[in-house]
Amino acid sequence: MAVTVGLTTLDPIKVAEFSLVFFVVALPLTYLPILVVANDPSYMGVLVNSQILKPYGGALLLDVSPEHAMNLSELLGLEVVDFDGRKIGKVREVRLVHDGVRRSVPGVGFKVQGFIVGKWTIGARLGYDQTGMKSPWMVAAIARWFMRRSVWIPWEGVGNVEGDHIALRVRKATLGPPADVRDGEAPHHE
Amino acid sequence: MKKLTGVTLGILTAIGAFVDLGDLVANAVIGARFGWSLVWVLVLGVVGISIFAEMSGRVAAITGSATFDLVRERLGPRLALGNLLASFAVTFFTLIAQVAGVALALELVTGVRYVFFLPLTGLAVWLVIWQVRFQRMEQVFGLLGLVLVVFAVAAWKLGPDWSQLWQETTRPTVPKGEGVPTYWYYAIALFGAALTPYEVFFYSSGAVQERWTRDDLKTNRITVLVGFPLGGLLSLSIMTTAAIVFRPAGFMVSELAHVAFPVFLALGKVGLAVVIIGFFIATFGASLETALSSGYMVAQYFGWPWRNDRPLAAARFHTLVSIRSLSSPSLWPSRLG
Repeated sequence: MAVTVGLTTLDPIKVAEFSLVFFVVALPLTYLPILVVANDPSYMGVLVNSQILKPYGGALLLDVSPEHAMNLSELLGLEVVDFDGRKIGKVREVRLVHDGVRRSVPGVGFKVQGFIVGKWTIGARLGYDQTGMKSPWMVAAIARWFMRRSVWIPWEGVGNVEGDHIALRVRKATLGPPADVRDGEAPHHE
Repeated sequence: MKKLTGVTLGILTAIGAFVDLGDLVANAVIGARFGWSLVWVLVLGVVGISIFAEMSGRVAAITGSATFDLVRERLGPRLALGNLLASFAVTFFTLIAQVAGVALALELVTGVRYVFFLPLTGLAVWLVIWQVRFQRMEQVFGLLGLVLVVFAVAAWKLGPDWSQLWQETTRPTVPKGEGVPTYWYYAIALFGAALTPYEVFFYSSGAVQERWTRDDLKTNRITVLVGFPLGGLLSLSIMTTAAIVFRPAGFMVSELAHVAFPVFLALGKVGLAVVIIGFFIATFGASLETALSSGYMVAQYFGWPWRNDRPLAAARFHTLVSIRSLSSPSLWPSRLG
């Protein structure tokens, strides 16, 4: 391209005009997406300030009013306390399920299934506890070691999301390790 | 203060739309050959870019996504790649033209052949992007770009025939001696220049970089309503000065120096000095806009980090923009002879 430009010995002004040819391709392909998105209430309305939880998780957030929608990132790292007030650990990973409906808008149709609470983040994030996930055995072993004390909290077990912690309405003893939760199956219980 | 920075973003973006090197000359050519018979296209262009820039700013404020994020997301990887290649080509040619434009402005001042200034210009564009924070850059060039208002002053002083201006604007006809295809070529070029895609890439990315939120929607609207109509007014002023000075003589505008001549007639040496400074600011601003835009589109397409002013935090983005700005002058070697 550089050579071509050099060889044509065009003057700068001609080059500026020449560049307009390409706009014919770029123009509709640029303005169409803006138009589509700007007029898409589900995009502009739903994903306002990336409030992922607002329409989906929001309906399930038991004691959280819809006005107080949260970002997923706000949920991560919160301390989790069980029904008896015992600390269980911090939220390490939030699992979402999709409702299976295909939409043109990405990121829509998910709801919170539950989260993994424990001491370490690393094991949970790899997702090896989920069914059918293939993994190198050594990495899986390390992940399992990191996750040995993690517990799975189904969303139904959440009582209240307060400023700095999540209060459960179940007791710690009823919670199990995060295994095989992908298809909405009940996690194993101890 | 934040309001001010928003508005300067609009002005800087509008410079790329209406008074970059190609536009400066094209506006004067149109004025000299077609008078005011293409002003309706300019109006259409101002309305069009205002609508789309406002939308892109609003989407950026609410979703945090810049325009090429949307392109990639909505068109899918393949079609978006087509857009990326075309837009990259547009900004490629525009950038090398702007860098030459800066050098041409320096040639007007010094009398030294512009080729001499090309490497320095590329280096200067790179340094500004590398060293200067986005907001500062945008404020400085947005505000300094206002010196181009000298064209409006000159047009006023030259005293256009207002009834003729109104007549040609509202009832446009192809002037005698001009072919219909030529007329439409310039109409499309004028409209295209107003809506060049890199403007919305730049504008929306600037909005994301400044972390606009829902609270900035008003700023967005003001910015658009100040920036683009101002750009259109500058365009109209250049057309008008050329129409008054060159059209009766049938003079063919072909150089940047010609564009400045009517201002010299109207306002003397001071006016000329201001115009040349204006040329420098406009072409330099447009260089920054195109260099950054090409970085934005690629980074947004591939998902690279780009929001950070610090080169280390957005290494691939800054590397790309550096290569673009530093290599832009090297494309003119054959002009040396």
